Amino acid sequence: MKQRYGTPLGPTWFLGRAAYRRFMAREATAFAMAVFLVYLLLWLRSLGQGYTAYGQMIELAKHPISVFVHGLIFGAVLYHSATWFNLTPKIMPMYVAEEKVPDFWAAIIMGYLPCVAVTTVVLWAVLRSAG
Amino acid sequence: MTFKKSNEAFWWSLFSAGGVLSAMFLPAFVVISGYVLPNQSSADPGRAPYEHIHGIVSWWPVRVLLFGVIAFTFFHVAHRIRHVVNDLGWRHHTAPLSLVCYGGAFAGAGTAAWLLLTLPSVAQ
Repeated sequence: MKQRYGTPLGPTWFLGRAAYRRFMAREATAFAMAVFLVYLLLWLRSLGQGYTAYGQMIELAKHPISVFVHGLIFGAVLYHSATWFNLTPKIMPMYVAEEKVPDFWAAIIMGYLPCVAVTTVVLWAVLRSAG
Repeated sequence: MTFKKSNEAFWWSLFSAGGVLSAMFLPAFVVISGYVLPNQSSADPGRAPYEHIHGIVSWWPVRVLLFGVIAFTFFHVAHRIRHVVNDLGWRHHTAPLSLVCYGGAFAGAGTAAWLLLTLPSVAQ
């Protein structure tokens, strides 16, 4: 394919290849995470305002649209976590006694296992005796 | 050959810290805010679920942790959105784009700091 110097790429350039599409899907997770951060700030504000405001926030969270959007955000966040953990050993190789740890195991040790531990502790703290 | 001076390394370091923290914590946070908390208070309409979550969040180590996760994740998403919009075609005069993205991240981090500092220690 011959392209003149300076020929602009259209905004759909990434659709042409699976690797480009995966790249764009990974980068697009940032938009979902931005929405979640704003939601988290609103939630924190309601928590500080007291029981009534917090109750209204939770009523909002029960709405099917909120449940659906949370589902989308959850998918995006999981994709972000998985791609991040898979990339970590490529950027930061891991060695044990001068031997390079295979990327698969390095991703599990540096990414997936700590994430499972963090998730367990956070969920335990919230679910503990809260019915 | 000369290179244009760039602050990319600084923004990348914030992006990277936010990438790690969000990858570790956000899956749990999304499950809690989207599923656990709404279902908790439907089972028990009293104050108990509110006081429980308030007790966790208002504990100072948790406030500091939440600030770290939220603030760095804001810089993470700001950096990615800046690059993605750049890649989708906004390739010239990118200063306003950077200003909106990183300015938004500063605003978000500042709001998180303010909300977490002013969160009452006793449930209201």
